Amino acid sequence: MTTNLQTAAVPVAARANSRPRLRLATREKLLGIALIAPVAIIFFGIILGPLLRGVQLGFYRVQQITLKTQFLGLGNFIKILTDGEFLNSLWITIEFTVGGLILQVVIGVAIALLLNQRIVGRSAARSLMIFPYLVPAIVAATVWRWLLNDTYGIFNSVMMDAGIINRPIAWFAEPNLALPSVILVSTWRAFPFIVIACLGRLQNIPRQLYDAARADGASTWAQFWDITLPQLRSVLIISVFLRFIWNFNDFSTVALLTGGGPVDRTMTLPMLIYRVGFGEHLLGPAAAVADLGLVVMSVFFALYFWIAKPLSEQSS
Amino acid sequence: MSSQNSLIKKAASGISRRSALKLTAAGLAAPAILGSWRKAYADDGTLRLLSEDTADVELAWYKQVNDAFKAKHPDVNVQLTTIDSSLMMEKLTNSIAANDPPDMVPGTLQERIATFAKLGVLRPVDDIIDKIGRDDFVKGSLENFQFEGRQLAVPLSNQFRVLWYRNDLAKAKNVKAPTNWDELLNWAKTFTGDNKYGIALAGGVNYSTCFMVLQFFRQGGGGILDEDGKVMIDSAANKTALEYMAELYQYSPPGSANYGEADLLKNLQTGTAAAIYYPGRVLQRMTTNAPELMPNINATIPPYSAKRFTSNGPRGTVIFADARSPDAAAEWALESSFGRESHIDWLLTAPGMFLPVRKSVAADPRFTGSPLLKERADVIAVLEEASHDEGNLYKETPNHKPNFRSGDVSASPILPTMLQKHWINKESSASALSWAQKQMEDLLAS
Repeated sequence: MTTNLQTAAVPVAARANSRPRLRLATREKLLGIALIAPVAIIFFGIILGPLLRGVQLGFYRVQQITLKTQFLGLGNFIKILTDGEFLNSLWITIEFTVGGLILQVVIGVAIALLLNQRIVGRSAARSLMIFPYLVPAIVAATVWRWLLNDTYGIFNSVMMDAGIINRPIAWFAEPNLALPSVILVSTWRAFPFIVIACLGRLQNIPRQLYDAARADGASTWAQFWDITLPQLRSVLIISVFLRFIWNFNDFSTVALLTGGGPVDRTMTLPMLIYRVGFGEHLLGPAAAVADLGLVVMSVFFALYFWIAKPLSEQSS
Repeated sequence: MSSQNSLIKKAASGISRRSALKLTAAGLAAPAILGSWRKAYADDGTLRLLSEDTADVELAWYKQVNDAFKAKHPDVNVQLTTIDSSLMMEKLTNSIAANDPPDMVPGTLQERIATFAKLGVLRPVDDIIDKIGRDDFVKGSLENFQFEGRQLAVPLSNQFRVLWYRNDLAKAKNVKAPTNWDELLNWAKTFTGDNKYGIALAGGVNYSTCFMVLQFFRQGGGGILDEDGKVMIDSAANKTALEYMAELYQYSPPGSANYGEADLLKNLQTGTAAAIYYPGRVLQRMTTNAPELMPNINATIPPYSAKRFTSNGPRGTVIFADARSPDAAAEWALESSFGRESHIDWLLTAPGMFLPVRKSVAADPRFTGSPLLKERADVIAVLEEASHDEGNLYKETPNHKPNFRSGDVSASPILPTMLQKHWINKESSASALSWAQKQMEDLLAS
């Protein structure tokens, strides 16, 4: 019996030795790859693929209807960088992004502090605060176009009745007012995000810190500066980061309010990409503008993280 | 730990065989499934209409004719998509590029159709015209949609941009409707003051502004292109016209540089502006929004300097060469757009805006008996008179060579930006015109 068993076991062992078996670590590695592959494929398909295609288009002339392409090398980039339009748009985008960001953060933090106090109607105010953030861009733009309308807008009407102005102001058509007006609307739409983010953090700051500070005779300002702000730092870092991206890429607010005008005074990069790509049917140059925008944004991110990382570590 | 490892081992060995086979099978099956779905979609009798008619009365008309069509052709599913007229070029360009054009556009402007005609994406429509009756179309209307010898759209209607003014305000100031540029300027001065304006001009980046620029250029003896198709924006006549427009702009509301058609109409309706340039749709809008103002609204031939010129808008019905349901599209056109009764119903959705281009319809008592058309026969007479000096970006005058890029010109920001440069950037007229000349040359050469 024993002999038989041994005899039977030999060929099995021999078969096993003749076919190289994967080591456990390798098999686990392969399983890991197999499990991650679907996500990687989806990531490539829906994020990296279009991104690379967009970058690639910047180097071509593209006929929009037939989609026939012709390689131009750096032609589109040279044209864009030399005709001044891109740099003008970039500057306007930075003004729009940074201007909006400052207002959103200042107003957002101020209102969050207010809503963190025990005031009458606090719950209702907290609920209403989210409202501008929920309103679709088209509704917000239409409402603000009415409010700031040159001939029947309430802003002009009130200011004229109060004797502040004697002629209606064209908020979206005056070259020097168009961008600030668009920033104002953008701020109105976005500040609730900062309020919500900060309010959540404010509610978790231990009361003992304020009690101890007060016991030491710290003023309200000192409490804000030395307790509240450091506690808000981590929330603000991520909020500013997200709002920067969203402001930089905000297309709908500008498109619906001014369409980039008057005379390109609100021609942000997303508007320029849209106008060149879909107004002038020049997909190649539009992609080149987008590529350059991506580079600029990446530089900003690198700078941001370089500055924000020590601050973040400090606050944690 | 060991049970975990055995689980991993089991999973790893499972994936390498069965799952790999299943994945391969699924991978092979997916294109076949998707392909058959696409084929089924292509053959399921869906008729896709893309329309720029968005007013409630127009949508009600579509509902009515589509219900009737569905009742007669239960196997055809009519799918209506509506978009703002200003986005039509963009929407069509993108859908054609994506190889997914609609089956048909029931009505759009000649200058847009011309651009798509040149690209060879439209289906000839002679069969439809023959069924309607070639002789029924008024002179010149068929020719409006013949591109390089091919009939690529069925003429649907025509429209004209005239000067609309507030009769009540004119009477109060004892002023007559202007007939030339000098009178128009005086008119504008007379009514401006106390936050009221003599005229509201469109200066935003939109096609209304393009039409207005063309109109002033031609009225001043200039134009966008000369008869041979050469760009002539920087001509002396255009310089005079641009400077005249800047003078008029002083008497237009402060936000004019951002105005589109809706703003113009609101200004006329509220009495903020005493006059506007607008197509015949004013009658429909006033009937709907402010019927009490109807007696106070009047129209006149656009005042001119060197030549009379009215910006026109022949509209046509097009079917795309790559339509998935071309037969259903042709059938829909014959029954819904051009069936006598429904065609008249459509024209009457905006009386004065959609002027007939078929003799039988123009003479039909159902059309001529429209209460609004009878009530405002004076306005209709003005619109008809305006048709004697018509032109547009496709053909500025009958002697012009066709401009197949007219759709792109009307969708491009060149003409509005030129205007804004002079109006609000205070650039000299010569500089703004020279900039636009170069931009337009580049656009037409691209």
